[in-house]
Amino acid sequence: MWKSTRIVAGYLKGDSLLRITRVLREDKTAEVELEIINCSIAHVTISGDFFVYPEETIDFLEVLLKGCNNFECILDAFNKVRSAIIIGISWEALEKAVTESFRELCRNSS
Amino acid sequence: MEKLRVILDLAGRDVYWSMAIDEALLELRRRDKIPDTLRVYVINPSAVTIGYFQKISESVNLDYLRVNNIGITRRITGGGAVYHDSQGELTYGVVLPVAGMFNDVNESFKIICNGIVLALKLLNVEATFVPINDVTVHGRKISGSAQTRRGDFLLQHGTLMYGTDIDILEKVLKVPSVKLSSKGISRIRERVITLHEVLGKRISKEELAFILVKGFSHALAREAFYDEYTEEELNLASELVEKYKDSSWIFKR
Repeated sequence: MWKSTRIVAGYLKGDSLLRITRVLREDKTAEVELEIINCSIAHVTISGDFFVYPEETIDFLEVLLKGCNNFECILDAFNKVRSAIIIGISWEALEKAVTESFRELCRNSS
Repeated sequence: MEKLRVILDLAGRDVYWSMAIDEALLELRRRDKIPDTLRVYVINPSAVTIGYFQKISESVNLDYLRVNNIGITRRITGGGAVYHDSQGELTYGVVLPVAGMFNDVNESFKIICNGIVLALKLLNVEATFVPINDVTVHGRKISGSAQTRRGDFLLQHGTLMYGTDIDILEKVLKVPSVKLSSKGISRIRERVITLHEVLGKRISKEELAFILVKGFSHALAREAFYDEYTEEELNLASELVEKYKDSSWIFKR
């Protein structure tokens, strides 16, 4: 169960929020940092003290998410990694953090 | 009874070598060049390891590490940041097949961490395994572990704080406030405990190492036999050590 999430930082350029960091806590802690340019994911970092097997899955997910400019792309990226074992945080929570951050940034980008 | 090869490496090696040897053992076990192996070792000088997924700048106080010349590297295992006190912590690493009772990750953490629990029981210390990967005494963490899997084999390594300098640990590690508050505490010190505090007396690392081996032997239902590193293990570790010293690995995220 996803216990808590909060935005810890946002980067503004003019009136646009371009980078957002969310911290989520289940049994372990994860941080999702998302940065967009023209409503396209320019950079994403998923970090924390959780476990994933194989570990390279997170690196792969970050590569898949880069360039995503819609929710279907984000969903597709997560579908490609969902079979990997994750301990301490759920794929559902990470996906929600990415999609909500993307929504927040695109709503605010000009 | 199945055997468990045991290597005691208590003289101390630096953190880069220590992580390289753990990875070498996993790789060579995968290649069926060595049997299931438990290693009990000391990281010397004192140093920090961070989990594979951690953002280094948010896990440790880099300025403090720099000023105090404390080394740091990134592990191949997930989990959190660890301060390895050369005068107060024993580290273990065990390579085992994923088959059977170790197939489920959570269950494997529990079985292997039970080695720590049973070792402490031999010292009349009541310890508890707390999922996912901790062992606590009086509700405070005395040991943490992390695990990776490659093919049909796992490496689990972890700590036992027998006399860790908690003042330094607090200065070195950054713990997210959300994590502390989720445990109802405000400082790291409230969350951790050392064996010296529990026992009210000191215990030597040598004595503790043998007790740890007994604990793991019972937990894994294996008969321990003592051994030394092979040339192949040390050669492979000497190749892998460069990765652990590489800033692009350490500062990966």
